[in-house]
Amino acid sequence: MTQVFHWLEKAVLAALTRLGGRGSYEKIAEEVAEVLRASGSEWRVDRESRISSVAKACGWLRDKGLVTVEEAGKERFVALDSEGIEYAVNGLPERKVVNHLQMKGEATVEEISALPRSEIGLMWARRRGWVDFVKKNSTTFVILKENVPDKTDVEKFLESLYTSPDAEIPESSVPQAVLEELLRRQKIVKITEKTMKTVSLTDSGRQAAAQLTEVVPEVTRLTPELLRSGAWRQVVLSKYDVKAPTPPVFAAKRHPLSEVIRMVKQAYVEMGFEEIEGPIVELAFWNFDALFQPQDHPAREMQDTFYLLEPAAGDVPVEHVEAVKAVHETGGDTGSKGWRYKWSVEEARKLLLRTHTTATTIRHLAKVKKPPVKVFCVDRIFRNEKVDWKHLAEFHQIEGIVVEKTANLRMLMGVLKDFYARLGLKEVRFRPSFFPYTEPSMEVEVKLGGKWLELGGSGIFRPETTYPFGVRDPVLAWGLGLERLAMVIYGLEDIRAFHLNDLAWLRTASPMKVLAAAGGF
Amino acid sequence: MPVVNVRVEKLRKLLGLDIPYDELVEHIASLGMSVEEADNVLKVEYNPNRPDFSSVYGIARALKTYLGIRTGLPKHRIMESDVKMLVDKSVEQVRPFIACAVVKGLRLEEQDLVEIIAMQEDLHWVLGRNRRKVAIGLHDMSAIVPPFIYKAVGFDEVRFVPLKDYRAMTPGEVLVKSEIGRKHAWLLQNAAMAPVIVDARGEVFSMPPIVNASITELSPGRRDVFIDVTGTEEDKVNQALNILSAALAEAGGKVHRVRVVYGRKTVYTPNMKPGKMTLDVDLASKLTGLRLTPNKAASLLRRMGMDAKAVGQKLVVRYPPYRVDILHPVDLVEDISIAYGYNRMTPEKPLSNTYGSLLPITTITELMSQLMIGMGYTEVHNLVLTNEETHYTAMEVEENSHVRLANPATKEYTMLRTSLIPSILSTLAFNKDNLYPQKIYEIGDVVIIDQTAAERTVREKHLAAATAHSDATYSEIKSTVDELFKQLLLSLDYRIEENKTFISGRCAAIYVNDTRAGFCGEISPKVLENIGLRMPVAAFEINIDKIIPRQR
Repeated sequence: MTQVFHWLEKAVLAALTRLGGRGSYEKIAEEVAEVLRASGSEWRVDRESRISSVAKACGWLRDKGLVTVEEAGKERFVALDSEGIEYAVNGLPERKVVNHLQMKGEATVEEISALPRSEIGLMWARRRGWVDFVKKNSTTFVILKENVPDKTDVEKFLESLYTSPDAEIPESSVPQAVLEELLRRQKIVKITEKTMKTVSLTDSGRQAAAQLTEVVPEVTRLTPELLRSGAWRQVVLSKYDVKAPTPPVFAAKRHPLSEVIRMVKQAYVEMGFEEIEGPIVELAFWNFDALFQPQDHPAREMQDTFYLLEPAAGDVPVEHVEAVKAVHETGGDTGSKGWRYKWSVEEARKLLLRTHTTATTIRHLAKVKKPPVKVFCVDRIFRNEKVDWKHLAEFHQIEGIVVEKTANLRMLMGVLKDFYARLGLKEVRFRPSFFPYTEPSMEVEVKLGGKWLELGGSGIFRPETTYPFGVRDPVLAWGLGLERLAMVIYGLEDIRAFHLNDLAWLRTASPMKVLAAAGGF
Repeated sequence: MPVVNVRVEKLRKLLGLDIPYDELVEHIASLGMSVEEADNVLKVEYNPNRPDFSSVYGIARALKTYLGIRTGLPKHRIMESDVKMLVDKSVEQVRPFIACAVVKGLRLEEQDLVEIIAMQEDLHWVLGRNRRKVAIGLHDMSAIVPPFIYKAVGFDEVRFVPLKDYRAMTPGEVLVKSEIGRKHAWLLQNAAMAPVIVDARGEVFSMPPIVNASITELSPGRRDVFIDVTGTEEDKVNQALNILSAALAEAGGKVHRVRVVYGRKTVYTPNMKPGKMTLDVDLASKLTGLRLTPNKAASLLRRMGMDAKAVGQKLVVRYPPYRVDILHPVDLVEDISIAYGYNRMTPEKPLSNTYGSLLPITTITELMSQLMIGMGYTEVHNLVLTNEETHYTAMEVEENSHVRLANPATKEYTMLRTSLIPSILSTLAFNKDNLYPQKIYEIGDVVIIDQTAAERTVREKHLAAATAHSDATYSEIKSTVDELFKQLLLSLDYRIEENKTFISGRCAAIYVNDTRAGFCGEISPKVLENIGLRMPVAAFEINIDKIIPRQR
């Protein structure tokens, strides 16, 4: 197997070979520059970057087992401190004093004081025996003596430190006297301590190095500059480890519930159903009374239904009140016995959060009356329930009705089977059930993962529900759970996940789940 | 939904047939009950329209006809007795109706008693609306001497020892001192008098609907049982007694009639007279989609425990007195369907040719979703239900008028939101440990008070979005709004606005055609601190109904 090397790795291997198999980062960096120069290229980065690049490359090589990296003790270095840089460029303060005097011959102390850091300058010039102070007519003059050297050892050292490519010199190679003076004078140089690393080629490293071809510096990023200048022709773009992990990005997308809703709506539209909507703050009239739910029905009680403190009551549709009242009390003209109690319009005026979208359906029927009607609604409903992993106080219902002259129970089964088949659920069965507003009534069960799941209720609207609104034809109706279906599609155990909006989940929940549920493509 | 525990062995004995377990479960489900299986006891959940399923006897009775062991209307022989119940006028204002029966020779074991009490409790709930409309008392007949009197008395007028107690108390004391009395005291909280039943010796043995006296407590053994059912609706009182009488007859008792005397009116209970209804077989065929002949329909009804006689295309149906759910011929159609078997019917397709369509609001919100996703925003979904703390206090804004719930079950849900921003910010707070940048949006409902509407409210669709990361600013969110409106072909302008949720001077109202359609800005650090978020956030919200008016 041939290994793919970054050019830096190649260069480090070559440099190490030239160094006899081992060396520090610094040495390797120098050698790498040599290797490159030998192959006719220039390594155009500063020393710091060189060393850090070498360190990085040594890390990669170590991971590949080609080199070992060991700590080789600590070493002290001398580097310029803040004032040292200034002195290296402009000269020491005593040199400034000397320069001034060389121009003028002599000068008053006042005159010298105008020079930068004159006090330090005067002190050191005198200590070195370069100047004397002479009093003339009560004015003190500074005069230059004869024996001033061109450059002291200290000055030579500062210069070499400043021009050194490393910007630091090992403490051991600095003359004792020079270092002592510099350290006595503050902020000129500082001592840094570094942990030295020794990099050594392993046997496989030696083998790899032996097989190396030419080393050419490579460019990582293709920049607009390289393109503009045409320099891209001269450089080699480095090869990447194309399998290396990269930082994550997240696709922005719809919420899983919206994906399911969209799929459900599409199924309805394909089946020729028209979408409808209605209020979520609903009159008890539409939510219960119009649906022949007696006013003392347990579902109407406070523990199941959210009633409103404000606004507490609204306006019932006067045109329908009499007929609904009659059907509750006596069965009206429907042939029913009715519930035989005194119906109260006050109870019907109460406002509540709709407990089912059937309230919206019956509103629609009261308007259109005549068949054919095929409408649907996928919308929010509310139950005053304790929230846990299985129950929400606010969730969605998948509602639909078909009104036809010849609508019947078998047709209801057909529509529901067709609907679920479009969602990828081929096995559907029906059981007798009970709802106050349908007769016959059916529970819809769907087979999912080998288990039968109750997904909703259905039935044919009772005459007591439809006659008061002038609807005489059979109305097939159903209300199915959305969240329970979505839970299965997304493999969720806790229904609350849908509105917790944990981005960690939203980012990973794939919309493909919905497609996959619907049987793929 | 009510649940009845059914001992499998007892059920098999009542059926007189050793049906395999799985089949038994299957048949019970076919009758519309759902069964949760447990070793020897089935937990059977039944629908509240069928209180006759509240005992193993009722379930066995239905299975017997359904399986064809003995079809048609079950016969229950009611014997005469000389027991009399005199109803005093004083109960008229409190609890006017009573129906009674005597069931003799019941052999009751401990387990039977438990089941009968469970049945009684189910009936209290399903038919009696928690004893308000119907309350049942079962008594050991040997402890009392007829004739009985049902009357209302003052709360300190009589004394008796209530069930599960040993102290003699007045009715008033029962409501305060006795455990059972306290539990049901609310039923009499507005009553001026307390209804009681006394025997010929003047002994109080029942205080409906609260508690029986301890003297008539039933214990295992061979017993004669006196049943009193009191209530506010005569129909319901009789229905409950019919259900109990039928069950206890099947438990081996001999049911005897009681003469109930209301002044000059006398009735005999239990009545047990079958109901009668005419069914047009064409209606049954039409609703089921089955081609039914009168004979076929009649035989299906017999399997549901009814009698049916064909008269031309019509059936004269006699249904049992405990079938309280039969209000209309469609209820008979359902029985026909159940007897036929739902899963034996072949599904068919609707015939009408209609065209499907989405609401314009669905289409426009889909489009907006696409634009938001295109700008890197991920959709979230929050509830309309919220609370004032989250919606106003944490947002540093004053409460505006909003929908308030009368009976919230938790403090978490006390109102409906009027804006999406609090929801969006809560979502960000919840996600504070997830990777940034976080850009989210929501298209959802808010509910606004509107006194001109019949429902006193209007529902609006809003769009809100927020961007949260270390460099999130006003200009970023404004760029987003600019782009959104540009794509929607709408021109907008910004007007500076003060809103405590946002940093002062970094919040703008969004105007479309001089209508305020939304707002945007940088969220104030106070708000971020309130919700525990340590990341700059900029957000906007627009009212979709304001920028794209729709027909309602």
